[in-house]
Amino acid sequence: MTQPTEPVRSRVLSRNDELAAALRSRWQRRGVFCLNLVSSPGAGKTTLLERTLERLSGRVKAGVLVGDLATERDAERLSRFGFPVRQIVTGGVCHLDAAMVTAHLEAVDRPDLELLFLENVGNLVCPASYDLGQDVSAVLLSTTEGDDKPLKYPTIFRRSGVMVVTKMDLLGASDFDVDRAVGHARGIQPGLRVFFTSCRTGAGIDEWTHWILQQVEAKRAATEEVAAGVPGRAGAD
Amino acid sequence: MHELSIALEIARIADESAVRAGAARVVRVQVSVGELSGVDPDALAFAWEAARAGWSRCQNARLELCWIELRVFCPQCGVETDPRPHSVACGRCGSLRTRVVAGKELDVVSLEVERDDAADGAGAQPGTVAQRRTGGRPAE
Ligand SMILES: [Zn+2]
Repeated sequence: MTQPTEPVRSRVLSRNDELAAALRSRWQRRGVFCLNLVSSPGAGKTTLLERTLERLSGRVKAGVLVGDLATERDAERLSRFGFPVRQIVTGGVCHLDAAMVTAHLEAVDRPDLELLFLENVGNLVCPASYDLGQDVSAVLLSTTEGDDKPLKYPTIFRRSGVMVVTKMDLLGASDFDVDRAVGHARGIQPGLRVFFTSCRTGAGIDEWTHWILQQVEAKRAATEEVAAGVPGRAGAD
Repeated sequence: MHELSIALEIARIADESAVRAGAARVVRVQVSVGELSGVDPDALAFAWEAARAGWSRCQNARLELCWIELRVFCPQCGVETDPRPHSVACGRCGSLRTRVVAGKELDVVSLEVERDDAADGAGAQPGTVAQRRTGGRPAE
């Protein structure tokens, strides 16, 4: 006997979303700012993170979870700066999900944590579908890629609050047009904040690091306000 | 290729919903896929063949995908439009100050199930597929 169609109305990723919501409220409660870094393979996430951690050393209590398909090499590179770093080897899975983050959190979540970096697997497609409880996703676009990437992968740009254009020192070596790249990206995400960086010359890294510290401070202040019973904005959307 | 993970989640939801409804088999699963969901419908349809094999009630279930195009609402024009190509810009005035009203979906919307007509009625439990509450929307 065939039944008539039954409504179900479940988000396909509801299980991931529930875990992500739990992570988000955990960071909300403690005033931890969580930043998810996404990009194509080779856009320079690990290098940017190295330069960033170098500057943040001694200024903030940070932790790093870094996703990779198979190797532990990124964690070795990142653990030189005095912050706890944990590699999540996904075993071929092309993205981090909220369950993986939850499972590996213990290794980096100290009671005084203020800032958590998630370095996602290098991929502009799959990570877009998985909420990790982050405050902001930052998408990296290097000048050695096509400036039409935002047109090809609109979802990841739509779900990012920040775009970091990397390898600015290589500008001119290809047809990459910065204005066109930013225009395409803001067409799909008008509120996108953009940084222009080069890890080789150091250009833009201070500005980017400063922005991160501002976000950490804002998150802490918002949590303290809530704790003190001051009405107002409780944090990021 | 996260479509395999997505397909496995769909099969899990369908199978669990069928169990709750007292059904023996899932005949059809209807899933809406938004233009901005980040999921490729062809890859998902392909992955479904592998995913359904792992769930006894879904072995022969058909996956029906409903593609949802991006739609935006422009407060200035007061209307909903198809946005300009590759953007969320209002189709009428071009303003980027719009709200996405459709196109982010990735939802199991309905399920067609089959119950066994056991002679003693033991296998047939009346009831509908439970309505699952949807969780919080992921942040953008
Ligand atoms: Zn308009």
